[in-house]
Amino acid sequence: MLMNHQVEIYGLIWALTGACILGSCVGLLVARPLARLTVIDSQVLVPVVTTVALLGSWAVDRSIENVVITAVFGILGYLMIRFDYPRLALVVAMVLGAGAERNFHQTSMMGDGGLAIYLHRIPSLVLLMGIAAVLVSPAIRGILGRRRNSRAPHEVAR
Amino acid sequence: VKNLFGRPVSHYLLSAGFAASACAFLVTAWGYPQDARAFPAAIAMALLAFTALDLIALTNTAVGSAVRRVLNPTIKADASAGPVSRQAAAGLSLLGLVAALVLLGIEVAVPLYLFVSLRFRARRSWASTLMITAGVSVALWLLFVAALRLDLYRGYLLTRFLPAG
Repeated sequence: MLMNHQVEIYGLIWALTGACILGSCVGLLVARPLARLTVIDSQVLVPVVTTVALLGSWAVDRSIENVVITAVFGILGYLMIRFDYPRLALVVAMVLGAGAERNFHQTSMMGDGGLAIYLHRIPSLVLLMGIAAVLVSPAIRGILGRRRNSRAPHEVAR
Repeated sequence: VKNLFGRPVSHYLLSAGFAASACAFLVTAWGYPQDARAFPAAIAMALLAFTALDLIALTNTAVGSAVRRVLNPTIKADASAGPVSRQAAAGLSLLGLVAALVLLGIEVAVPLYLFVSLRFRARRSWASTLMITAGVSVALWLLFVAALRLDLYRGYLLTRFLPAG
């Protein structure tokens, strides 16, 4: 494709470049009027945005199940905000989950179905140690912080 | 019982829900082939372990505060929000919109939801309610039907009892 259709490929690249520049110009032109959206009463804005969001999820593949899933995750997201749970971890898991599962199966096949392969390879060991360090670091930081705080009053007294 | 170990029961519900979903998955996945369930079962086990720790950390007991101090020193003492009735009303209105979309379809549910929300929840005047409802509905119709050429979903009831054509 790249060798035989260079005219189309370069046309596509120029079109994408032009679209980016045009998009930036349009964005700059309408930024001021769009900023006025922030002064609209939230009780008016919320139903409109909710409707557009749900219709957008339906329009992805014209499936009404998408609307139900969007609403369920909307309520879950609200509850996570309400009870102070991190949302970022859930989003990352959603994005990377499928790839992680696929690679887990590939690695298991390389290790004849066993999990020992994770401990026999240096890169895998390094990653496992990194994960362990991330999991343990809050506890270590907490202990170090308390030790520092308990030492501080003695230093002030001196 | 409003409080459990010094905290409102509602504070445990999300974590308990995650634990229940992990348990439900493990029970469901028990009959799957071993290869298919290996990764999701490991995730569910990890989720169970973390939710157990979270449930302990949520309690206002000596053990709970020790777990909180060691594992999550930045946890807030108490999350506060508006009245429960307002939160429940917001959640129910979203579920109502979804139910209307599934049963009545987009062309009926969207104007109905906008009208009810603006008139009875936002307490707007009749004129502005009708104007905003009509404006948004027409804009959405123009976007999805006229511009994107999509056939709007007609809803379960309309499809079943009032077939198109």
